[in-house]
Amino acid sequence: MKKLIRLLIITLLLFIPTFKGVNALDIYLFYGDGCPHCADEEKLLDSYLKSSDDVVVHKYEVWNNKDNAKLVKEVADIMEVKFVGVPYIVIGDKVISGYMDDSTTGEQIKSYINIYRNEEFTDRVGEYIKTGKVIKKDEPTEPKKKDEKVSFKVFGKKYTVNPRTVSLPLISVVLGLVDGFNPCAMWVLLFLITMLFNMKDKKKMWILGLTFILTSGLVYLAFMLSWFNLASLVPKLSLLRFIVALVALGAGIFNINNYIKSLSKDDGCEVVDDKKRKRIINRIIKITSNKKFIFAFFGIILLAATVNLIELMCSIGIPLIYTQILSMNNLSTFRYMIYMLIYIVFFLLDDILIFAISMKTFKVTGISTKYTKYSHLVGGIIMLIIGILMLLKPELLMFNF
Amino acid sequence: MKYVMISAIWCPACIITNTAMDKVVEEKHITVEKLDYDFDDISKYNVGKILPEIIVYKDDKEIGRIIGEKNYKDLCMEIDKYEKVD
Repeated sequence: MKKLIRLLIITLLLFIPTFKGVNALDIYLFYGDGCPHCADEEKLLDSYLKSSDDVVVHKYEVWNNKDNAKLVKEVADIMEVKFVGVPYIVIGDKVISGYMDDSTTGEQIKSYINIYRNEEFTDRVGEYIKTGKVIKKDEPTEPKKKDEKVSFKVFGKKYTVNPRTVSLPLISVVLGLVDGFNPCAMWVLLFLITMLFNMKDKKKMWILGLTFILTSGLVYLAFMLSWFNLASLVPKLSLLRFIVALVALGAGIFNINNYIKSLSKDDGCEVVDDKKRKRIINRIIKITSNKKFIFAFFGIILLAATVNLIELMCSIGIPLIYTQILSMNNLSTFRYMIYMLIYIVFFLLDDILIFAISMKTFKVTGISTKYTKYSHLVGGIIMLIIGILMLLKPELLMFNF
Repeated sequence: MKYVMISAIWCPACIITNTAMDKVVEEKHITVEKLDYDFDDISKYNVGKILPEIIVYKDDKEIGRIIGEKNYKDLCMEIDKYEKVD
């Protein structure tokens, strides 16, 4: 176990510096649903930026969305280029209104993207959207810093990273790990492993166990995506962030309180809800003793989905807060997915380790309740800090150093 | 001295204590009856809300309980304490 933990730490250290140290260029596209020129422009951007991860296109629909319609007029005032219709795109310090075709406007867009990828400029639209601060064209400001990098050494090798690109992966790893230690659904996995041992067919045991773990991850991902979609629909400085901040504060206090209470109690498993547990135990026995593998397979999927949905309420705080942080960072869909997957992988890591070790040794392995206790404390402190930042200094969670 | 250990399959603390108990049994040659919280009749033991629970008997009379997760070292200390009781 100690070896595995050491391996995990080394993997983490190696994992972090692999992220590219570049600063993203944010461009802002205002479009209308059903507008053919907007569709052409979007198509061009999608194909041109397909393999680029250093440009983020923020899209705002203005025909049906009143808030966005208001925003585009405010942006037009800031950029001093009148808004006469869609598409209206802001790239760096330049505005392109309308779209002729790929060979004219398309080429102009590509050239602006390439200029502002490397040139320092003040992201006035981004600043306005995030903070509400209006910066006029000739106002002297600190330009957006490019290539602000930090260097450090791992195993004698020098790595250079940009804090912005490291912060989100790091927060995904930390929150995923802390959330993973949550014991709510762990008991089901432990019971399932023991019952799988009775099957005596290693291949089937691996398939069923991994199906349970993967389905648990998918349920979590589905929850996070739903919350993310909801968060994206609501305008920026909204009530939603305030609510999530309150959830973070509440969950933080609850977790720290749990930790304090656990200090005066014996370490061990608390027996709660006998009826619910026995119902789930009976279902697992029924599934694993089913002679037809296909029924057992779908039974496990159903079991994992229902158990995780029920137990989600037990650990809703961290994924909720994490998704809110992602939505505050205006990333490309690709990046959102990557970060969510990182979170899920680290969330499932302890389950995967326990399952793999148990399968290899044919003996159930458990993580000490002492670690679970500390995860309450660490999780509580992190949630409390994030809650306070969300309320008082949300820009610090946007990682725009 | 007789020990009755009540644990559950789904409980990580029980798994850890069980492993430690197996080692103690092997070394100290004590008698332990293991019961499962969900599958055995444990109603007469009046088990609390924290698992595992080890009930210690001397001449069929309960003289103490070891409650919660114990590693090998802690469990040895607890068992030694009871084994010294006259």
